[in-house]
Amino acid sequence: MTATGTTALLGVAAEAALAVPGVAGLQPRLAHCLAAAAAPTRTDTAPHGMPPEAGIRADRAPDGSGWRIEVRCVLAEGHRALDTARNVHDRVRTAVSSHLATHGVAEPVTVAVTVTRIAARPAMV
Amino acid sequence: MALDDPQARPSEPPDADGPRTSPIDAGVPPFAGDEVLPCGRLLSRVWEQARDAAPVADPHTVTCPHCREAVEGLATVNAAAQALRAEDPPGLQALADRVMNVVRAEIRLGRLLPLADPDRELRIAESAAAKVLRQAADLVPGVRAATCRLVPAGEGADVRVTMALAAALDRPLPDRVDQVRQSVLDSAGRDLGLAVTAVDITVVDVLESWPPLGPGDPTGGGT
Repeated sequence: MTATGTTALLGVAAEAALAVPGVAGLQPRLAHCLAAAAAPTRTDTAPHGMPPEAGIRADRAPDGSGWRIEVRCVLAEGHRALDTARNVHDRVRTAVSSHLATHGVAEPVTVAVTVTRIAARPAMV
Repeated sequence: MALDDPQARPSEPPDADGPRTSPIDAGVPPFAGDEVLPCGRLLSRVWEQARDAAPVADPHTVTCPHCREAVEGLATVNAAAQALRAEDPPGLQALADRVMNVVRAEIRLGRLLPLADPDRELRIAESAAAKVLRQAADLVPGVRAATCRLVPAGEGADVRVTMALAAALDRPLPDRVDQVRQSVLDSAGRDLGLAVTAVDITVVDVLESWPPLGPGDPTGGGT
């Protein structure tokens, strides 16, 4: 079995999530925000400049049988949160499964989507 | 723990720096709390290799998803730890402020609530949902929402809303509160997709400047 890197999965998942109408951006995870805050060259903790992958977490299932993907997204106002989150869920799962399949890996993929914020207008995240 | 944290390094013979391709030599944790990865490697050894070894030194680490994941997972923390070491003492307060701002922003998200989909794991932060529901309450003339809390109710995706608001006294409060409750319920379903089963409302203040006086409408708003 070809090993599929976590980094590649993060990119695939982020691209799929950002392509969903109503998704204004991805909310960086706490670890990335703390790392950015600790970086001497940074003067603020805003998510600007962070790669979209910072809003994705990809973990192997505890028994190693598949992947669990967590997406933290910011929605644009005017889109129903449930419908948009559903869309993100399905597209990310499809994209990650397809990516794994191209590497000869057929593993279950579970996706969790969290809406962290609803932006008043399309956010520059 | 950073990659180059000397405190995390187990003692070992000088010739033990080479790549370890067998899990056998990693069978005995060198210190309490060390973790054995599913591939048999010790987490501490994998981190050591990531710090010390040349990129092609160990074929196992290159191909093993467990080892690679362990190294990737540590990279962010390692970068932060190195930044902390590089920080000048006068900058420590600023650093602490930046870190605390990040922590506060995370806390402000509030609890995570289930969206009404039994087949998918979809959640929304309490702060995001509360903002939408407060706006729905404010649509009722003579009302200003003060606080809005949401908590899961039961095992499913049901959610209970607790809201405090200020209301004008130009109309009976029960009617106005019912209007707010309906507006919140409608918005929860229409704008969010939350299965709100109850909206508990407490009027905590009187909206004094209501109805607003205007040149063309001396009696103000109200429905």
